[in-house]
Amino acid sequence: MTGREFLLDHLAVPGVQSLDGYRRAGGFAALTKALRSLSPAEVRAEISRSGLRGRGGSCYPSGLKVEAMAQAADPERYVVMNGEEGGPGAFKDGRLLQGSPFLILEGILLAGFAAGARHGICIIRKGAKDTRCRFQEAVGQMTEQGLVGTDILGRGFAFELRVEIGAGVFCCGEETALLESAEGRRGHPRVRPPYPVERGFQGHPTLVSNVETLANVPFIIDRGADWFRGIGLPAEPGTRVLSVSGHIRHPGVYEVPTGTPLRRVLELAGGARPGEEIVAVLPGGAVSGFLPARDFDAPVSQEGLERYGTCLSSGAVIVFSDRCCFVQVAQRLAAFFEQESCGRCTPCREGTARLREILEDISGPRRKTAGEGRRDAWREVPPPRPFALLEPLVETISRASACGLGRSAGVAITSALRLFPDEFAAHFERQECPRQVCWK
Amino acid sequence: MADPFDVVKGIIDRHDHDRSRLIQAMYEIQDTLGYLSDPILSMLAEGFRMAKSEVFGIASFYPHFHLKARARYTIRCCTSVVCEICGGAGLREAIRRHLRIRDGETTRDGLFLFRPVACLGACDQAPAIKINDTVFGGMTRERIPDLLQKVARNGLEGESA
Repeated sequence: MTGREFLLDHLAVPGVQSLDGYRRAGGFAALTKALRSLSPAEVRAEISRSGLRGRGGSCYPSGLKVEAMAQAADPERYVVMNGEEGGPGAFKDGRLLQGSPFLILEGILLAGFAAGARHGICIIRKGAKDTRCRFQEAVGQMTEQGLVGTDILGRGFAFELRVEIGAGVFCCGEETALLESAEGRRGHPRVRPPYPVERGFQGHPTLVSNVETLANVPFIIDRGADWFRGIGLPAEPGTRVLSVSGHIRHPGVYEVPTGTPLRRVLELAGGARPGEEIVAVLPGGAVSGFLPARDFDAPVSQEGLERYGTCLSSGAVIVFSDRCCFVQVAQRLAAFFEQESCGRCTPCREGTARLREILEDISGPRRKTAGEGRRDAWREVPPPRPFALLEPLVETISRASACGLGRSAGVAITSALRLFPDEFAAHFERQECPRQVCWK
Repeated sequence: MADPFDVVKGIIDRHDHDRSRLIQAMYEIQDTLGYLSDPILSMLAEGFRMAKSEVFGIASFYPHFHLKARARYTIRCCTSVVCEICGGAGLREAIRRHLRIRDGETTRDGLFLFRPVACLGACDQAPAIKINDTVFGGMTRERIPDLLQKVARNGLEGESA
């Protein structure tokens, strides 16, 4: 074991889901170390020095976030675990939560200690009922053992934890929308600034962190920032846990140090399915742009992928083979954003609907029968000038929307337009589907 | 079962009338009673001291809340990219054909409600459907009739995901 895939190695330890098993695997060593011999400022310095960045998609340096929290005047502070994972192709957080609940909880405690927070809220998506029950159990066990409560490990550190049901809505993955939903409101994003570290949950400073980010914290404190910096790229040290799905032989969760070529990830997942060839991937799920096969040497890292015009986001790698029609894929993506748009701001609410309409019109069944049998259905939508319309529409949505959902709604679609112009042209001009997916 | 209104009252009391617990309370009520009826929304509004319109706004915003009596089994079928490129459309067609209903409709016997939804979070098992809380991954259209018949006859217990 090289220790380079430390998160998945940790999940593979037998019995690590139980409190005893977690202790045997070296669990709570970091918490003990922090409480016995380090001050909160030292823990913060260690996190900053490690260069850890948020794994939820923004890649914001975690050290800066924790420092900002510590600067806040309000003594009532919160740590919120964002387990509201729900984009297409994203399931790695669920795997981490299920595999080692105590690791995440230790991460929350450490983050709380560093930031001076006394309350932790774990938000787990509605669909994952088993995970939520297990978490509730885990919190109960920790309370019994004095790992959560008023005097943790006898060092006078007080922290309470509660587990809540997430809304199960994609837009609540955005941190301010998540907080709105946790406060019992509709999950509309807030205007930032102020950022949650200044004014978050019920107006108090709040550290909202992705599950994978929190999972890294105990390792950093236990093994030291220098060990962490030794993994992956200097600019974005550590590993990335990727959920690989789609047209791939073994869909699942994989972990690689940052900077690993994407090609290697696809090899780990078994490569293309028999008789197929991988044409493109979406390295960051629905919010990223397509990466064509010729660019598979791109490194797994935020900056590296940005150079190729896409992003890593939360690491939901969706693989597309030569069997799929990208017009249909684009249409499904647009439909997803339309469904998940929270409806607060007009560009996103209306724009995503129009986007889906345009794409459905060229890949749905009605275009083929235009004028024949389904006459009224055809009349609903004016004859599109799709090429002319799509680009400005995407531009408008991305510029005018209030949060990241709208801003990223068109990224994949524009990149598909750029990469597969022939396929789109065939649909738009000749009403043909070259892959015979939309129509035979 | 106890009077449903006592149940609702109990749940609201347990959440201390604290509005940040509203959504948790709604989930609990729905889990015990099946759905959030209009009188329940009124009780929630009173219990949490907010306008009923606001409670309704929240209940209708989140797709997991049901405002009408719901079928015994809700079939959710993923329509997202990953399931779609792995054959999700075929699955939906098979379900529609087998149950003879359209999207969002309930069968006449009140047994199945069919709802196409956004991602189920089971992309590694694509294409997937979810019946109530159980995910059935790696489905094929041929397996749909068998599965639905089995669920209708024996319920969901003993089914493995």
